[in-house]
Amino acid sequence: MVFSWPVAGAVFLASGVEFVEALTVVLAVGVTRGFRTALAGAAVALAALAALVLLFGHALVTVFPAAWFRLILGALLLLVGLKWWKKAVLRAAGRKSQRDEAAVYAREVARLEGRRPGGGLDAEGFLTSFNGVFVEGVEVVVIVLTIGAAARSLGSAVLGALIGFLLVLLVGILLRRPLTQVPENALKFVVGVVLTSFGTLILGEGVFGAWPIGDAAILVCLAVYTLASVVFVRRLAEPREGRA
Amino acid sequence: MRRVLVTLVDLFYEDPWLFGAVVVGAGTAYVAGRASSGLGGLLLIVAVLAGLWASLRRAA
Repeated sequence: MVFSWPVAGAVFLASGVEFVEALTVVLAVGVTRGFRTALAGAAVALAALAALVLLFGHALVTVFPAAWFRLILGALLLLVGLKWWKKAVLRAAGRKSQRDEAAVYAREVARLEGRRPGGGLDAEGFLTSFNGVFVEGVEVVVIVLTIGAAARSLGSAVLGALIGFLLVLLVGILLRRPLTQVPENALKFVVGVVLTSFGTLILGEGVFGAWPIGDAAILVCLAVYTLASVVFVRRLAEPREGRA
Repeated sequence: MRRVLVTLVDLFYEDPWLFGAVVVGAGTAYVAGRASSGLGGLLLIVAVLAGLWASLRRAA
């Protein structure tokens, strides 16, 4: 297996955004129900996610015929990427509210406040932390498995996600507050375009074999989709400006 | 995995344009790709863009 920086970089960006969202929930639980509860929930969720990668990662790479898993995983990645890309375009055009980690954090704290546990683990806090990490983490697992397996570079994908996780964890420990300075909406825009480009490349390989220009086709996808993003945002922003 | 399945079902029912873009894109790319992989790739990209634009117009 050859290490691939594009694969690691794409997974790092995508997983970093998800980890920032998970950190917000874990911090809210930590502040209201204690960090022991918050970290226990997060640790169990991470163990469950690691098990998913070990179980399905190996099977995907070794069992399925290459064309079939490129077809299925490419379609899956394309769907995930399009979903992110669509939200990002709507946000950039002012048609959807921007995600605000500070607001999410305040909502979670308000929901969990009021009843502080005496000692030991708090069940609601544990489940909230577990759920926050697991739900965001499942998307990371899908991204790691699809990009990693299709590019035959699962190690690069896992390393990208691991670096994203450690970086967010480190900054979270140092700041002990939500990472509101991270340009999350802009990152989601980039990640949406990157995932859609990878999805297109991989699905294409599954459907008709190699692209005429090989893996360089991803550069064409990135350029076309970036240009399309600019056009889409401008077109969607126009009517609102006209009405104002 | 439940989350993934729920997301896929949601996408199909709540956003058929995105789902359709992938299915139609893959289908046309398969047919056209038998003659030319370049044409297949081009049609796949066009289907993705058309599906996304239709979905954006519906959501905006």
